[in-house]
Amino acid sequence: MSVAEWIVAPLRYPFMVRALIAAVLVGGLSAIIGSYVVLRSMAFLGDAVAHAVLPGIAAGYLVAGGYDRRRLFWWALGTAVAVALGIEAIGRKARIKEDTAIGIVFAGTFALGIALISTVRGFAVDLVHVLFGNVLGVSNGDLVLIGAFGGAVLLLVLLFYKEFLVVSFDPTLAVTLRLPTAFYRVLLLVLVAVSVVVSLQTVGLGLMLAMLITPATTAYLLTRRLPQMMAVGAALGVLSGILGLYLSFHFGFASGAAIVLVAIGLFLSVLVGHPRSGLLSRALRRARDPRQR
Amino acid sequence: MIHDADAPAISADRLSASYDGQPALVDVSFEIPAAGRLAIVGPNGAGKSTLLRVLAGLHPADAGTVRIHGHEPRGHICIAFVPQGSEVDWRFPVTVTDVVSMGRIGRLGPLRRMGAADRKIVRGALDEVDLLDRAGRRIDALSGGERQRMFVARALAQESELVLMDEPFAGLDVSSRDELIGALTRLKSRDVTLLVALHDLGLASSQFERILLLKKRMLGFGAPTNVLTQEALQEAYGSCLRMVEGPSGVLVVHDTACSGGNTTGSGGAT
Repeated sequence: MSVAEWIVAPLRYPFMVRALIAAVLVGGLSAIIGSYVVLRSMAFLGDAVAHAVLPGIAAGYLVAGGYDRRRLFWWALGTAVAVALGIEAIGRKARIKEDTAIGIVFAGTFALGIALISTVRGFAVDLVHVLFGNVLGVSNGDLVLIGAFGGAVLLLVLLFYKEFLVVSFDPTLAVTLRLPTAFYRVLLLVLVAVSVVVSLQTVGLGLMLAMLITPATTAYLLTRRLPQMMAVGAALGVLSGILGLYLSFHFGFASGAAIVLVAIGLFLSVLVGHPRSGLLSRALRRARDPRQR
Repeated sequence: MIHDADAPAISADRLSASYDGQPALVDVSFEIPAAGRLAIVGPNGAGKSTLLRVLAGLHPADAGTVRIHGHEPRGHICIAFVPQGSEVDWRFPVTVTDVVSMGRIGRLGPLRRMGAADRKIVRGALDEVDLLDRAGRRIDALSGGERQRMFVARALAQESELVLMDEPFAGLDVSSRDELIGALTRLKSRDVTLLVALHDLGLASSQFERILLLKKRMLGFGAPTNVLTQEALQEAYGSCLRMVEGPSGVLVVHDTACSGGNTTGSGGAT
């Protein structure tokens, strides 16, 4: 098979074209909002929000009496936002550490989701889609939802860029500038929650965290400033999505896993092979000059 | 916030505050006129950081009042507070210009971007602290002294009229220290009021017109020679202070690693 054929072959299938569009949107969005997740050390929180969506989806399934994806999207969105706000409130009010609060909410909601689902016969197959994504089943309506909510998230990130930057980098300065810091902190959490739900169908909640943090972290290693980190991260997220889907199409890997593995592969190549700060070039420099550490 | 022209820059009246339920500041009263320069000295755990945080409106007072140019601290955006450097994540992907530009955010308000006038103010601020050649550097490439001068530039960009700095000289070598002193001196020409918490009593008495000696309570306030008396220092630092008789008078040697006199516990917030 020639290279051109290799590239064109999946495009003959409308479901693959829709999947590619979804992967591009989700890859870019996750990396941009993920830059804040990485810089503010919110990785655990992002993972918790993703997993906490499960009881919402299960409840929606029970109420709707079936696997209606559009309706489940709203249930998932509501749960994710509620959980993000709940974790924020617990972290501020309770006398326990934030990661402990996240852990309890994370495990608790996930267990509740599984308990609810276990009462429903025949949900097991759909559960796999929720856990690991089903990007090949994306419909035109799904693409509209991803585009609309993803666009809204990006617009807010752009509008409040300088506020999110100062609240993330120097909260004390934000207070002396008399910014409503609690508002921006909560808004950022809600944006993370919305991005997670929008991206669920691509990689599933089990692998969502990788899309949030891996391209953004690779970009962090390659860039000097936050806008560049977001741009490069988005490009890497998009590249992971496309390449992952091609690998999935040609070799039969599960699509979500393939996308995540490409993202991880890009990260490892940069971590090892970066010309200045990579592990390889550092080892070479040490070998050439044993005094340098 | 409109400033009262005849009110002092800072007026603290019988101020008390606590940290984690422990009293950190007891009954402190003082006044500083605009463009005044005050050094706050005292042993570790004396409440220096708490005092600065209360003045900045970052920490509540349990009793007493603070007036900044005649009004509550929380109404002002002209107060610049520079905490000890460890509070900021130095691996954050921002340049020196990015950090100094953050000072403009309070003036800009939401949904507005920096314009040409703002950028000119930022460049001017960088120039005043001699950091123009570092403008595009990422902050993890800065030395300790350059980091402190960057925060001074941010205070200038903020157009602040009151600058509060917590231990800015900690860990600086002599040349970085002198460069920072130079940058701070330039604040005075802008009528900026400056409060600095520091450990070096020599620096405090040579560079500041007023000194506040603190050990939870105020042990002295005024001109350096009136405040840094042998009795007051003995009370503040106790056994940590060594007096050496020299040919030109008494030499005071202060051990900065010591936490204070026998009556002081090892306090958390200093």
